[in-house]
Amino acid sequence: MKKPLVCLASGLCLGIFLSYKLTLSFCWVYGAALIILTVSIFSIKKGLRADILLLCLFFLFGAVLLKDARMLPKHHIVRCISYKNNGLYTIKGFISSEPVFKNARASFIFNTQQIQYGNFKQNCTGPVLVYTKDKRNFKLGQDLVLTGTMARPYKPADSYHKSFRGYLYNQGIFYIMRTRAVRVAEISNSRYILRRLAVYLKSRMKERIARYTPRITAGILGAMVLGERRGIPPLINNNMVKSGTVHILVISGFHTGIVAFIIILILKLIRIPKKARFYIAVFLLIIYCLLTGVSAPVVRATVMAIVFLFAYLIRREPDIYNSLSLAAIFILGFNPRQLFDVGFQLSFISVFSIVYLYPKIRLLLHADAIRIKFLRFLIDGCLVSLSAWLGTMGFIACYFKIFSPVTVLANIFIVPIAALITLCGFSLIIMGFFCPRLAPFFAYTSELVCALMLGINNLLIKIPGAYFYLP
Amino acid sequence: MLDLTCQERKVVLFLISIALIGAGVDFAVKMNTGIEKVIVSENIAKININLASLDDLINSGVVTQKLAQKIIEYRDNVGSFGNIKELKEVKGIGEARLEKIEEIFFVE
Repeated sequence: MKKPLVCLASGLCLGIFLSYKLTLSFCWVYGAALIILTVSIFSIKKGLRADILLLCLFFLFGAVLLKDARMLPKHHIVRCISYKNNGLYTIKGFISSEPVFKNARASFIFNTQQIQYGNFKQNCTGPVLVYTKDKRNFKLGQDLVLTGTMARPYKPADSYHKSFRGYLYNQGIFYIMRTRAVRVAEISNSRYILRRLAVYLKSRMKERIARYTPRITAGILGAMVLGERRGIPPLINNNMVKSGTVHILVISGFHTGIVAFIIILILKLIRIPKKARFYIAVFLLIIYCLLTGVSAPVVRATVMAIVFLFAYLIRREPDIYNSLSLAAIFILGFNPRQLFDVGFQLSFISVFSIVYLYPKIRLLLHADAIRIKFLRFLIDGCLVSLSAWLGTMGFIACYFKIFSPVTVLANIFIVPIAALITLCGFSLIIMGFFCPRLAPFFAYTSELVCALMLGINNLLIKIPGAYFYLP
Repeated sequence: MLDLTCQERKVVLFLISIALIGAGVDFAVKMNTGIEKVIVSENIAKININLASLDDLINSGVVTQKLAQKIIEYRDNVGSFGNIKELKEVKGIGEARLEKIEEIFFVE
């Protein structure tokens, strides 16, 4: 088996999927997993049989993971809230996500420790999403006592997965609190040290971008460099969805690759030894992953980058299928519900289809036979876009109800420009910190390239038949 | 002489070219203030409500189909909007709705 992790990750995904569809009790699945584990231990040297058993074990492990994730502890906040009690609840706990300030309100994920309804008080666990109109400057890790109403997230009658409720359930959040009163307890210094460092760095970088560029350019750069999509005007986002290029506004492997490249280059220039370079690069990549919001595409890209760096360190040829599968196992191991998340599905399917389809299409069209270098480069770009589009087309049509034939053409133009914007964004941040005199020049170039990208995108979606909304 | 690898040379060249392009734009902006608006104007992310079609209004996600029709009717009967606040004349648009509309539309 040349790509063992691909088979194991597939087994894991299948296990999670079937466990979601079938109503088997945890004990049955767990018992079956234990039996297979025992048999596997005894037949560890038996070649094919051992492989099949290992595959079965991963399949059952996936099922166990989802069953376990769906089972809530005895003191989970869901069990402490009754639909009959629609009065005010008081919860005590701490902020576990970076607070977002928008439309005159703040929102954040709040890890609960204690809940009170009337005179009844009890300890509890589990996160809730909090909306508050309190004007205070909330911080990650801050301890608060909140009083307000509890409600389940909104769900339209016809769909679950595409609803806000489905999205929050996949993150383990079952309730939303709208606060009436907020009391600040204290800021815990020992909580989320790495994440707080990441949030601090992000705010400094955002401030640098905002200082040198106007609002729209800052929004685009913020999304493409820091994963901060809230700054993108809705119309621009919609236009990118229409042309099928919205993926460039999300942090992906490309961005992680650039960060890794910059880090290694700087470390190399100051003559840091190879091993130390590897460890520093891994640490900084993890910080970048935290900084950009730990979404599925970023985690996938970070894991893959670390695998590639490690392969480079031990002088082995990295296998892209295996590293992709390792990233999937890693993410699903943390949260098996991610398998049903749109971001996770699109991220993996697009990379997989590029890796799998692109060489095959290239061979089919004899792209190697093209002598002119520029033309070959153009066709390669076209084929990469085509491969990604073929892979994700079904998912996009199903989830977003849009079909964009212009995608392939749009990606040929937009992706190289987006790459340039990302590089300009990183350069602008670095210059903003170390050489503020030169930063405006980098800002102007970024703005120019952003204008070019938006102009081309607007032009492309005006082509008749560029996109269709599906019923 | 500089003892740079090919990769390092590429990075330096890239940075210099970005800075040079930026310096060129900076010079052009200083010479002609009109260019500043051409680069990325605020309106690039907005739709002119006086030219917006019914589909534009509905797809914006900030007005319902009924409200979109009312806006079109108002525009046909009364004429173009003079400023964005005038939208409050349309029945069903309050302060909160207007804030959302302002994010997507502008008046020219």
